[in-house]
Amino acid sequence: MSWTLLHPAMVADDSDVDLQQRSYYLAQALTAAKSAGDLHADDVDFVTGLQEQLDVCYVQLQVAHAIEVHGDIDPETRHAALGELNKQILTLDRVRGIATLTCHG
Amino acid sequence: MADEQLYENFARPYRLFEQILLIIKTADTALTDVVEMVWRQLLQNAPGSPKSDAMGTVITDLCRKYFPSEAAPLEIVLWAVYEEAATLLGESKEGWATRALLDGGVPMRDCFEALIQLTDSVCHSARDEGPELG
Repeated sequence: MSWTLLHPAMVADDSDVDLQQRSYYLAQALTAAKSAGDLHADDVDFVTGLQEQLDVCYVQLQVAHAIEVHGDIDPETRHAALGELNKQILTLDRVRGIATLTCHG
Repeated sequence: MADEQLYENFARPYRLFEQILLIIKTADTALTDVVEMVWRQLLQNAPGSPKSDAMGTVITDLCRKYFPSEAAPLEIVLWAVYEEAATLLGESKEGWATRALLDGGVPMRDCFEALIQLTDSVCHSARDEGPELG
């Protein structure tokens, strides 16, 4: 299906596409996929994966925005942090990895 | 990027408390210690005055965004909210914290049941730590 071509090229890791654009492309791909109708099992997995990526992308955008407006971060650190966040979208499994951590310190 | 980077390398070191709640909600992972610490920080740092109004606004806002989810488990949230509210006794009308929870979309029944559980656990702890009768 043509809508599957939207995803890998547009949101590949380390591409020049920033996080905001990735979220836009993901949302477009998701809308197109959902409206395609008559989905097979593989397609459902793909759509679920897209939805998860979009969810995580949204979280990353919120984190990036908070860093942008944070008054206590020096410009150099801010620039580096935003660069890292723009580089790729994490997977939900990676986000779930926080369960192994604590928040002290 | 290493695992957990969003939390470990960004949200945690920069103390992005609300983003931590968002990460927990999205990850759908129970982290009660972290959630309690974050809720308390956000309540204590509520901007504005009087403090009860400021805290009430934060409670309502957070509940609307994160309840029901792992970022707002009632047994943790109620404990934190009522303990923080107790530091403001006499400053505002009685019941402001509960009203803020209800305004945030927490159903009265859920609130009531969580409170009963909390009361039971407090009573059990007090009984276990009490003097032995003999």
